[in-house]
Amino acid sequence: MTSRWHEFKLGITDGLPLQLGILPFGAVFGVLGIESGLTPYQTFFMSSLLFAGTSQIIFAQLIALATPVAILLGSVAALNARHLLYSASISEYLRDKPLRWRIILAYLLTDEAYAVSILRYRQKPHNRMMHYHLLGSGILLWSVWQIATLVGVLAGNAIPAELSLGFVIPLIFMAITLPLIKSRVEVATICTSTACVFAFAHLPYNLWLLIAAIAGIAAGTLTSVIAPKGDAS
Amino acid sequence: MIWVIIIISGLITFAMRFIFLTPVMPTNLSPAATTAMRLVPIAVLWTIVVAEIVLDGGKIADFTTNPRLIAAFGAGLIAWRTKSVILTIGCGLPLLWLVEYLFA
Repeated sequence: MTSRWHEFKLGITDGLPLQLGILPFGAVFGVLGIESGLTPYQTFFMSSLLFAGTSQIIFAQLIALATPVAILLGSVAALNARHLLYSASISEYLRDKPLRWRIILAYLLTDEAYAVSILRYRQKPHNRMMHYHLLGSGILLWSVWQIATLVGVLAGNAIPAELSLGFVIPLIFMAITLPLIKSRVEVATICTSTACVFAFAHLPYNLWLLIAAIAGIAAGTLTSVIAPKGDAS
Repeated sequence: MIWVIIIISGLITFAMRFIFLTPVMPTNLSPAATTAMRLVPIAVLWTIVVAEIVLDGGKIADFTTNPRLIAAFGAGLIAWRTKSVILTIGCGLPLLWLVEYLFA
């Protein structure tokens, strides 16, 4: 019992610093959801139904541009494909848990909760109750995300457009992606994606988004196969 | 209709988080597949960054009068050096306001 509670608390304390970034991110989504024409209920419940910040923001932006449903779902799927990797890498620690645990923990498996809990699993001794760590970091993140969304939904109309708060999104994504660039593999990826945005910006239905992302991944993967020397990972 | 799309998106998201926690999936991916998966967030998020900065209403904005481009360069340096989301927002947004003020 003590060990469960200990792991749960550790998950919460390990996840606390990240909430500084989650609060403004969630509030921006709340504002953006309303601006894109979603109702307050749709915006708020999207945070519990999807519980995936980046996808929710893209969802809102594509809805505002009247994007066809297939492109929208394809974009959400492409953006969330990284969760397959999280799921694969954390499965060795969670596979023997009962189904209900795996369902709950999969639902809570966001970028941040994964980042915090995989560190605990890899760096500290094994413990039969260590799935409570991901439960702790996941529940903390979930709660902060719902509150932040609500703040954004309620404050949405009170925030003037002149503040250019939409610019916060590329800022957050820059802060996430730029530190990940460690070798020519990532450089090939971002250069190819950048070139594709310029080349395909004129295409309808935001097709450039999927083309640029897939081309960037292909270029990086190809680089790692042909010239693996520069790959730091 | 929007509710249906939201629920389907939620199911897609959950499926991707859950699939490797079921015993049916192989745990070992090929090295190339692992690299490709690792590059997914970089490629997708970076594409969005570029689009948010250079596109204006579906067209490439004029470089010489685009305050977002200048602000993004400054914020990009901060993001790269500090790895801090808070510092990147805290410096990048005021920088955009400043550039917009000077351009106006």
